[in-house]
Amino acid sequence: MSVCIRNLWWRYTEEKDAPWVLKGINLDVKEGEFVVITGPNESGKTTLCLCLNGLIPHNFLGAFKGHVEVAGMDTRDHKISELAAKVGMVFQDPDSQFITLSVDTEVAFGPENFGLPVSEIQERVDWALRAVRMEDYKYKPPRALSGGQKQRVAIAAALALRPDILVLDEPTSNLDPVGKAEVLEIISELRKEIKLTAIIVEHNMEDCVVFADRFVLLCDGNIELTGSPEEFFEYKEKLKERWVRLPQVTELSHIMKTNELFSLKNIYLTLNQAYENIDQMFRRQRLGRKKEDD
Amino acid sequence: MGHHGGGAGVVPGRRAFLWYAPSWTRFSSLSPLTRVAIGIFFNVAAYLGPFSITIGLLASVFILMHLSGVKWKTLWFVGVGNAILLASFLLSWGVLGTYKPTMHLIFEWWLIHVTLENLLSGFIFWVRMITTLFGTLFILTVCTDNDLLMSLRLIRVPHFLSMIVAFTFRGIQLFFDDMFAIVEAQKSRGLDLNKLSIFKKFKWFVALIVPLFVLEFRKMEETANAADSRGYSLYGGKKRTEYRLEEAKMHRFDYLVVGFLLVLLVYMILNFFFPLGFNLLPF
Repeated sequence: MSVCIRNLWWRYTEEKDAPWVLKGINLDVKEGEFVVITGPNESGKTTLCLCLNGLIPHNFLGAFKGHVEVAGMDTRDHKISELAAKVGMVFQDPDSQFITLSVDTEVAFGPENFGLPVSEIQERVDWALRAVRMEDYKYKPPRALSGGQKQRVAIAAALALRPDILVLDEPTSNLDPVGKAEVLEIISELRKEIKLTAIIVEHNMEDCVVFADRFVLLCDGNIELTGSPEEFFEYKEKLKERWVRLPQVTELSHIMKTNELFSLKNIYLTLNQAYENIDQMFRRQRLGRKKEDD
Repeated sequence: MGHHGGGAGVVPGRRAFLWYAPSWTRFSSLSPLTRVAIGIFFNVAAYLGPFSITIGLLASVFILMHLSGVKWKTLWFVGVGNAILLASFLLSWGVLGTYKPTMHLIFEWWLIHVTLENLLSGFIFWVRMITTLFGTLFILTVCTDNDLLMSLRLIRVPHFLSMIVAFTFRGIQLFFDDMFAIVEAQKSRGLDLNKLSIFKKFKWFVALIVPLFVLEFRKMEETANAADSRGYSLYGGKKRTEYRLEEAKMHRFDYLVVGFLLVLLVYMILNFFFPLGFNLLPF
């Protein structure tokens, strides 16, 4: 198991009566899995991410209960710098996580901290920048980059450590539609290439439904729903209650399900799936009509 | 001077502190440490040495500016503008300098005595100041913030100190980015700075700057978390690699330049405190 969270409780203060931000989270993520965490604002998504690389409880003051194990290491017993080799983290704001003054040194920052030889760092920098398609910007300073480009550099910087697990907190929030699809595609490719486990916080279901193995709905510090995309989007009412927008084609299939005419059994997740299914449906109907005519 | 890289009409350069530094000249191939050392040297030596050397320094600043391919137009504009402003020193020295009866009087009115000696020393000080001015401007046009960091690392400054410098540079960038964003947002909501009186402008500025600092501190906290989550530890026993240091290393020519500057500086310091009595020119 890549990530194993057992009965995790956390609040940002040590006061006894203060409310908990995370309330007894239980979550297992398998090696190589692509998990999407979603939920309304202030539901504890970012906090959960911070628990995965040890920033909570090491860098934040508060009360921590439970057990978080990442790549076989208990986050409470290991330093953040030890966990960093296993867990790559991409934060929400690409601006404030740009530490150095140029793209290449930014990507090299992680490997430098681990004292890798220069030749290997160079190789990793080139690889990571190629992976996020930013190799042309290698020597640019951060101010010369757009929000989306900074976001990609942040992903490259996390990748350069060759982590087993990549945690991304709303990585596509600053990207245009093409950029969004590209980033998710890159992560999906890397998953196959280096057996990366990806945990992503995302609001836009439409983009990640193609790549995700599992969805998790976090609400008010609790995991309310989890399952494969097919299982997850079956709970239309619950998701709508929690302000999660279903992919439009899934919405359509829910409407079609209520209509006897279509007699739909499974919901659609992608446009292709819908097209193929509807195409078959029409072919079958036409065939039936032909037989009747004959 | 060769012209490598870049498409037609594109000047290959790097963003320096001021404008763009061309990257194809002999000067930009120097190690960052050498470039920063030259900058520091101009600032120190301009006030230390005899006037003849200052004149030589000023001339060499202009020669270096030419060699490094710095854009003259922009540099002249800022440099000459400031040099004219600084000329007020020359005049005030001439007018307000102490008067001794042995001096050559040019003009006298009430308590004011304009003497040749005072004007001359004003002029000498002015030349020293514009040497610093052009020297600093020049170095700002050929050095990037990364160069400064690299030179700190080359002289083996502890990593956490150079990290503080890096954080400061990043902090300044973030600060100005956010400030301009807020000002633009306020302008789009009807703020007209030209219409505000100076007092109101000051009030507006204070109201802007306080929350901005709070915001920047929060961002810096996030930056620190990002650094931590990429394995950075301030007191960790691990040895860090310096990835770009290899490119920044000093070569034979760098050692020659820095060595020459050091010898010159030592001579000047000695001459300043214990005059050796063999200046090149009698002033």
